[in-house]
Amino acid sequence: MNCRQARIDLALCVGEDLPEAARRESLRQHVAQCPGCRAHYKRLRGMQRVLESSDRNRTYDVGGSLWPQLSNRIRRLDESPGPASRFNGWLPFVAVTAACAMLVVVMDLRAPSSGHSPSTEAIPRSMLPGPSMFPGTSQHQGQNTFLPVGRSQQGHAMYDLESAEPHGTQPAQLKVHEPPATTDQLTND
Amino acid sequence: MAIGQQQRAADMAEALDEGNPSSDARLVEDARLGDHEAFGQLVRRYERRLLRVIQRFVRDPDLAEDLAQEAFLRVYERLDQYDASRRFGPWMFRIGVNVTLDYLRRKKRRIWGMLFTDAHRDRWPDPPAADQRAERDLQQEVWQVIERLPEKYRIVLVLRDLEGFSTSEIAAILNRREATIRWRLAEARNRFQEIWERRLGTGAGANA
Ligand SMILES: [Zn+2]
Repeated sequence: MNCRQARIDLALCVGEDLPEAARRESLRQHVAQCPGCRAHYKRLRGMQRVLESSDRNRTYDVGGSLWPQLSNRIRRLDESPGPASRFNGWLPFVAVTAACAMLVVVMDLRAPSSGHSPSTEAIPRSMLPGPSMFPGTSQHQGQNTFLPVGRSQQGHAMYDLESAEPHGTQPAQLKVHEPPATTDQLTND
Repeated sequence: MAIGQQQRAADMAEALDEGNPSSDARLVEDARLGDHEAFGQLVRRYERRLLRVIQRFVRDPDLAEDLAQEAFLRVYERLDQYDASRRFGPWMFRIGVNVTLDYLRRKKRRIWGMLFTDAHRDRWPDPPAADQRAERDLQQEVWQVIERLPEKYRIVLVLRDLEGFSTSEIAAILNRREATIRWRLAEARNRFQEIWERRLGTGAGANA
């Protein structure tokens, strides 16, 4: 282990963030024979103490719950006409047309076996019949497109927060579609 | 009302809720089905912790509350995108952190530098008594150093060393591998230490 690697590991060690026992052991060996890194560790520990004591009696402002006000905003959000007002009435028409076309296809495919109406594809999520519509982890791509479109175009930046990244692999970048001011959001490595 | 460190520890346990991923998922599912009160429960479960994290970056309590509300609204709008096989907390905090950083960048102001100016002094939860002054001075100095760290290091240092999130939790919040977070944490601490020392060497008055 060289001094450069040692100082990275020492900075982790000082907050008990160095997980591998093997690395801790080789760090110990290096520090034992390197006065420079020993001194560095001492300084890092001093720094940790400074951070801790600067924060020891910090207080926070806590008012009442956000929920009363928030629930009003959410109710208004749910009651707002959604895409209709933003697309001058065209989108619902197009969407309904598309949904009808889809229904024809779906009904065609399901006609022999399906007992209940397949029209849930075109029904807002909040009106769907039961939890069985959302089994576990899948995202139902392509279904319930009315609701996400209506809600997600409210002028917020859109992040692909869960962009199909499996656990333990190279993480997907946090993609930002808009506004441009946020394009480097948490993406620069 | 102001709360201190003990409450913080209690909230941390609560908010990161080793305890409750399944009931979080249940509440999310109910909220998706239009149950407002279920979402209200999620809000009440996480709001204090989220507010505190936001107040790390935006000291003005009213502004922090606005941002927290904005964050919860976005969480609500994106409940469809939440993957129930993962923990709700980090996903929610990620949105909260993004909302906050988004705000700071859009404003193109150096909020970090304003935290301790006279304009904000009257907004301190506790008006400092004489014996608290030294401590507040230390806080100011520490923040002036933290402010000089590049953002990607600053966030990790704040979340780990001031807010007490684990590196794996920070990885989930920032959507990065834990190894990346550890590397940034090490870099942040080393840089902090270097700037701190340099500042002492060039006199305490020297700041950005
Ligand atoms: Zn060395």
